Amino acid sequence: METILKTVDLVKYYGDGESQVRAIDHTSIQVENGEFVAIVGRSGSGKSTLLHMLGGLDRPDSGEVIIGGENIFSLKDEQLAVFRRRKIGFIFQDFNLIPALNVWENIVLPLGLDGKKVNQKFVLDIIDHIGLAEKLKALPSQLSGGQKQRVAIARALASRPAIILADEPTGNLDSKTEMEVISILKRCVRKYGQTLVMITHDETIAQMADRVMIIEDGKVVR
Amino acid sequence: MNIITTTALANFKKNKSRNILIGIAIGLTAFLVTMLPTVVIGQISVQFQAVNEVYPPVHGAYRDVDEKTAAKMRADESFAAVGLREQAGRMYSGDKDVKGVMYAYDKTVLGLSGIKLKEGHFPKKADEIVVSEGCLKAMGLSGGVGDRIRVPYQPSREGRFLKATEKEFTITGMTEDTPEALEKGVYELIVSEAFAKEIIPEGEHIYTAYFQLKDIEGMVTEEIEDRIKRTGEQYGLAKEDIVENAEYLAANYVDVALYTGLGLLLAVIVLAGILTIYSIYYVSMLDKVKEYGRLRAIGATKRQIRKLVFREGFAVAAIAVPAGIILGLIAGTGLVKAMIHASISSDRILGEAMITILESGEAKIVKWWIILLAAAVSLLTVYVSLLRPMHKASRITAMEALRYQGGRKGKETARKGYRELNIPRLTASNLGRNKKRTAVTIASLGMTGVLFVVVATCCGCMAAEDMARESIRKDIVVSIDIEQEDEMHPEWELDAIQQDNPMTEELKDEIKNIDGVTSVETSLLTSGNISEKQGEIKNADSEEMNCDVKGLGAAAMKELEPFITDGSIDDPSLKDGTGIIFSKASLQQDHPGWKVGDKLFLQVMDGKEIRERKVTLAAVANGPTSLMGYYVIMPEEALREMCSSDTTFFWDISVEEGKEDATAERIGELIADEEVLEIGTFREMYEEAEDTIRFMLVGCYGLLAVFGLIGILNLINTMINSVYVRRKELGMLQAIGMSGRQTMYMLQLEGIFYTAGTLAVSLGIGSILGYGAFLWAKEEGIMSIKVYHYPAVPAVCLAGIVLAVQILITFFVNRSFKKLSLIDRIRFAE
Repeated sequence: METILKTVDLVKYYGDGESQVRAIDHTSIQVENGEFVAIVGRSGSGKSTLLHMLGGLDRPDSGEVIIGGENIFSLKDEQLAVFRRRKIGFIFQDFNLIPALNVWENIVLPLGLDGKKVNQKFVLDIIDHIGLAEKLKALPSQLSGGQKQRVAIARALASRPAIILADEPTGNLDSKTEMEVISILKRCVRKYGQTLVMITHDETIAQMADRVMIIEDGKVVR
Repeated sequence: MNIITTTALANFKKNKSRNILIGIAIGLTAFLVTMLPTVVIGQISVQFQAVNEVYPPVHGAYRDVDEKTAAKMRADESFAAVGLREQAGRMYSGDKDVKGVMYAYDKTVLGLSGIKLKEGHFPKKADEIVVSEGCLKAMGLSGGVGDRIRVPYQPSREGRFLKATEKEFTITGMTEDTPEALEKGVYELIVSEAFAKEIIPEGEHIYTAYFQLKDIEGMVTEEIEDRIKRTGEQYGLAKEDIVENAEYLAANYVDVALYTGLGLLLAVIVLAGILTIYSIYYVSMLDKVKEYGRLRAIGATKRQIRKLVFREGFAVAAIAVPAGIILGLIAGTGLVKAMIHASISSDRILGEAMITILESGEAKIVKWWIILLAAAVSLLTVYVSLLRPMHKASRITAMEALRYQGGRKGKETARKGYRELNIPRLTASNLGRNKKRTAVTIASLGMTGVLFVVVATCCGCMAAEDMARESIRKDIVVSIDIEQEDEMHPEWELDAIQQDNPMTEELKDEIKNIDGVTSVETSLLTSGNISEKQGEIKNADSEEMNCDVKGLGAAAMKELEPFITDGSIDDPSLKDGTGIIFSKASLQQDHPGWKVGDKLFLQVMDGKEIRERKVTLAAVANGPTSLMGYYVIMPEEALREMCSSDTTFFWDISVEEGKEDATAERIGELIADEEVLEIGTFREMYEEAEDTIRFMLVGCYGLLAVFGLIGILNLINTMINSVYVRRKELGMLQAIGMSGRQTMYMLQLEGIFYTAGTLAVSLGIGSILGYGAFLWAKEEGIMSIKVYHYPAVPAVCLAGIVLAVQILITFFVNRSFKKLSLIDRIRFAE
């Protein structure tokens, strides 16, 4: 199997001296193409920092993040932004939809930013899968939490990224909706052959992944 | 300190940048409401004090009062005092430009007028006189107090000056020469009542009666003026012979119009202040919903939330209001001083008195009541601006706030949206999302812009050039200077001049040949009478003539065309010489019933003769006086054809640029020997006009600067808030791949939208209202505004400044935004 994502000796420390926090401490991981990986850790274990680094949102002190063979931190900020919208799909805990845009627009937003033509058939297919075909013109404020997160999933899929990064995607949802959203996410990732790295503190949810990594004090321990 | 105050103060510190903005807005409001009354009240209080020193304490004067009427007035119980002054005659120098007017004052006037002699005493006997040094010199005489001088003089008789005789006077006193007297060559001398009685037969005395009214305490100036007018009319006096001492009245009684105007201006400032402060709160409130919600969640009552918002607002005001007031006082007093020093040219005596008062520190410019008023008005402004935010904040429920995701609750409906997105579409969606906010922002930005454009229009129309053009058409004018009712010089009367007019073709040619002169246009002018009756006037020197008739050449007629308000300049009657054009102002005032198409009888003075013609009122015009005169206009050929004598009156001379002074000097030399010709130059008129409007312009542009400042502040606030409120949203957009350049582009587009909206509102509504203001000023004859000038330069400046400010703000906002790491931006909600 082809390795889609790899970190090499990744380091990120905050502060110094006594109060130094080793958010990421010489971490090297590897994710294969089409894999569903869950990164599990307690609050403060460094899992969010790791995800941010994987997504190119934050720069490490040292080390490399290689996605699809490209060392993303060799890119300048502007290039990195372009890289993100082409190669990475994000799903955030608090959905992060644009309140002014309707469901359809939120989904095609990354394509729009990239100046790409929307493959309407493909996007409509995704929307069918997440079950929001009836809500295309609704604004985020009219949706429930679960529906919002489904929109976020569709948005992450729409640009056919190399990898999807999900940061506690069910953190703001009740337990019934939680399972529903995770199922949809997993199903979609399979269907579209996507790679998914998900952060969670919830062991049950983690169990749905192909592989679980546990992170403690900035180090992947398993 | 209770917990609400503590929290309010903590908030006050936390929301530093917002509070600085609000502080500036409040400070500006306080500054303006302090400065404006300080300038207006300070200026007039110094002026009033000076008026009371310079002007006699009389309420008004009635002119052309005969002996019987004067006696009746003296006995009239409604006057507190009536004093008489009579023009007994004038010293005769033979020089047209030197006059020594001999006034006889009664005791009352002498007492009221406060005339002070440099030395000596007022004349009592018929052969006593008070003179000035300048007058003696101009008349070719010399002497001091106690000396006897032989004075050639012309006795006055019913407005005419008789043949000169000589009389020996003893100088009993000397007066100071005013600079005006020296400049104009018109001196005032004082003779005794006995002298007036000696040279004017009983029954033929004509007085000017100065009076003080009784029982007018507590009346406003308008009422007093009205009473002066009514009383005068009861005595059968003509309108133009009733004069109120406006400056004295204004200085001592309440002028309603002044305070109304001041109040209106303050209202505009307060309104602008409220709008600005309110819009800052309105925008930042969106950001604070969560905070107030949390407080509600932990048990704060609505009342406490209201108090919290209120106290935070007033904490800002506590600093901003005193600062604004202090700056306002400093700027206000500075301006008053500058204005008083600059005003000296318009009324020298008054101006000098004002400077003396100012420098002696007698007049207090800083007034306690203005400070109190300004503080009260500013705080009220803050309070009113806070009302809505207080209400809004208190209505936020805990649940609402905790669920708050930065969007809006409730009413939003689905939006149609775009199939594909790009940056402009994204921007449009954002702006469209909160239409009300977008509209409020543009309205409040536009409002100051509208005020700016309106004031700029008024300033622009108040052009020194137009004012000067009111009295002079081209670069130089040579015209006839007539002198009526002088028995010594019948040759200075109009009829005589017409029969031997010095404005000959030869002289005209000579002028034409002067280097720099490009053209000389001739206009005619004569006295006339216009009536519905035939043959109303019988003889040429009749004082009954009721109008001027100006004859315009083809070029001038063409120039008049745009000023025609009714009828047509192409009317056939004007072509065949039987049509006249009427000045709109004169028509409205004297013959409101007449209209275009009416048949009238025009009589004109032609030397010793009267010519009559039946004419048609072909058109009405509202042009500058220098072009059309005051009354009746007809084509030059028509007037020439009616008269056999030469009615040439004006030469409007155009001169090559840069040669005006030399040419004027040359023409001056050329006509120096012609006593009845005088010369005027555009430059003189322009300088005079500039003096007159300089003040207004300084004030207006000051006001403009202030409006501009308020607007810019508002724009800065809007832009900063629109970014900071959405910082999480923007961060998220960047997380999913919006590049820095795209972010900048989006912010720029938003800014351009606000800029375009603001400019559309400012320039659109502002231009319309500005034109309205122009029409109003034109109708009311304010500052001789006649010609509309679009305030193009200020409008371009406004557009440029707004655009530049917007680009700058976007740049700085984006830069400061970049400093936050992307993670911080995404996480901002926490």
